[in-house]
Amino acid sequence: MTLYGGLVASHRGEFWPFSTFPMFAKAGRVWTRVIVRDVGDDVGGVRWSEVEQHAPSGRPFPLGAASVDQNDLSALMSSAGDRLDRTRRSVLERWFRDVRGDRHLVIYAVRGSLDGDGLVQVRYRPVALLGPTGVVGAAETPR
Amino acid sequence: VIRAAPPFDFDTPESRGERVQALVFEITAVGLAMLALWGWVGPISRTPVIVAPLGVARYLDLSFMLDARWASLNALLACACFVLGLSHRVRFAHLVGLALFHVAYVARFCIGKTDHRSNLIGLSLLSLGLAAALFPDPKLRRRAALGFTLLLFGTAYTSAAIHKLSASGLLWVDGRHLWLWIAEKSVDTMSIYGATHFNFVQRAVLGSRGLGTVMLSAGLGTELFAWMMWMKRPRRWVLFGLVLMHLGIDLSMNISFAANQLLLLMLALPIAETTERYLATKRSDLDPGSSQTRRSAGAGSSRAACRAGRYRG
Repeated sequence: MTLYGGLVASHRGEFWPFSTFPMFAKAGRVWTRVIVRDVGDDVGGVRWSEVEQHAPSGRPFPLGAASVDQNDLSALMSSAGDRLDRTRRSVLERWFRDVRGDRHLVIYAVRGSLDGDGLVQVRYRPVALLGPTGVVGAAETPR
Repeated sequence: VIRAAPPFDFDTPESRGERVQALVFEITAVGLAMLALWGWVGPISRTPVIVAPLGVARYLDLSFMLDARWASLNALLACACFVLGLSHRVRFAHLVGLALFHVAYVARFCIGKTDHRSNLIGLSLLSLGLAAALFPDPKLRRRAALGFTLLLFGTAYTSAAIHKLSASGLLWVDGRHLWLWIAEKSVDTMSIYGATHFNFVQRAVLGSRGLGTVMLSAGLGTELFAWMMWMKRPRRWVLFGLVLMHLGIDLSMNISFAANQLLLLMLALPIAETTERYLATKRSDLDPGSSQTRRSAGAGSSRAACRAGRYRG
């Protein structure tokens, strides 16, 4: 049991072969996932500082086709601030290197919660821009 | 100590069907482990740095695994160990394979998240490895592997239910929580495929908080009583219940637990009984006169005994 406790504690609650399954253990918790939108050349149309209630601008960019793992991207970006550190920047550069091309991709952190009436609220916050010239955080984007 | 634990049965005779079922389970676990290993090579080698060192990666530098050649070599060696383990000629092969599997698992976890299917695969390998290392006798090894597997599976599922109750209390089953998880997974589906739609189960749950509560209650109850798989009588039903629970999770939240379902089915399905029936049929097909001969011989003996009795009388 000591070994079990040590291993689970050192793996953020999820250690093979045991797990506290934190996603499901804490019901009703606020979650954050990510989506990627292809905004083409219309970077100016992206609202960088706002949290939006509806699906943001641009077209969906399916991660499956780009061989980017949704869980990995969520783990990387869900706690990202407005500026990207070197690790996040280099990982995003590598993961999207082959699919970025000339387009502009915006990564949104999607936050879900239950409101006072018990209804699901989903809000979107842009966290990074992947363009032909590189990867930048929301606070570093051209305005 | 092991003999005293409930899921271990070393004393009852072992049928050929049980031997077949044990082998089928072992092949399934090893096959799933190999698939997982090779599935991790791509994502690991596409990531330039260890994003978040976890577990043993805090003490060992696993960045060498980010090179596709090392990740592939590790997977190859682990697969070779599992094949040796399957041959039952090298006692510690499964455990060495498991250690390599763990290195790959940790490397995969350090770049994001490893899906939950690897939990039961790992538990199965651990059971098979411990049994092979501790019990050289083939029958005892198979029984120990089954016992360890049931012990660990039952513990894992029941502890998952206890974690839910301790983190959220009885209100964990509130159907609105399922709405929130459905929304979370629909964002994932949208992110992966660029589109999402709700299936009939999701639509029904989103339209009825009560139905969501019933589904969560059924899932929690199934997990909570998973330890009952340690007992022979309810085992099959508990295992089938868990398979159905995973089906419910898949339908309501789009989270596939195919590997878990497959492993549970390999324990739950009547493979041993079916094999026994097949072997009995084959035996009688090969030797159609044997049963008739036995019956005649038996009747003859009876007649002889009767005659002897009459004679004596």
